[in-house]
Amino acid sequence: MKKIFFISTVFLFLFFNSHAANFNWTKYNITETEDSEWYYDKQSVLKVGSYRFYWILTNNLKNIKDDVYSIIGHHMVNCKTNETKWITYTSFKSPMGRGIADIDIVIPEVAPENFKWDYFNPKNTIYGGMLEEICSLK
Amino acid sequence: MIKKFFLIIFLYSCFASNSFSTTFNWTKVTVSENGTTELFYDKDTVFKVGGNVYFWQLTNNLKNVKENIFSTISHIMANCNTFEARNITYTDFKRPMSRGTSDMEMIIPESQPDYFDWIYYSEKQTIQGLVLKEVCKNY
Repeated sequence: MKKIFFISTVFLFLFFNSHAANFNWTKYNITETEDSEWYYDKQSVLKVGSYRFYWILTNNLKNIKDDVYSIIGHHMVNCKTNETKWITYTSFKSPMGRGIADIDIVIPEVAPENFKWDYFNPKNTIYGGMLEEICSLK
Repeated sequence: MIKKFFLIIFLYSCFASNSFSTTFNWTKVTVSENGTTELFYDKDTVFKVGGNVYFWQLTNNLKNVKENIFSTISHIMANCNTFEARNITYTDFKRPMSRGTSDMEMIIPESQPDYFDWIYYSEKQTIQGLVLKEVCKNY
């Protein structure tokens, strides 16, 4: 009995205190054309000043170009306007952010012209709906 | 008795791994020798993406507070091979622990591209280096 308590305690300690944080992707939806599926990490949604910041992952399921099967990005949203800016962009040669990272950039540094507020309608875009969900988290 | 124990462990595991909120969970790393600054980071949101490790850091200004800025939060990207880092975001607050009103918030490569440089931090000589050591220990 003591052994069970000891092993369980050690397991809990190791599991919750020493492992590195890994993404825990929540699937939001898949496009109607089934071209891509969209995920975000709930744990990463954080409110700082006027904005919320979060990590997202998209898997490209069809019409794969340049061997890019998935993309991970750190984005920010203004929840009052449903507008976002995409801060980082990293593409991968396998789904779910696995495989070799191909392009790995900070967008406002490399492509400042693309670092602008973009509105996504929550009713007719997947990303807009996902933003609504991200903004509703307490 | 054993069943009860495992039920408690199971419920705790579910709660601990699935609970989340949109607030930070700061872990204190260090205070500067002269006591002017203390640094925290959020363990739960340290992620490796591509070649870099990303994390959130809170700085409390304890002494010589300028312009009423008592704390700042930054999202930082680090290269754990070279111990270099650069801040992507900057938000300052009028009270410690990122409380109070926020005065300035910016994306550094957008607003201050000249300051978006890789900087090496010695773990022996800088408190930022100590944070990097902590952040990079699993990568």
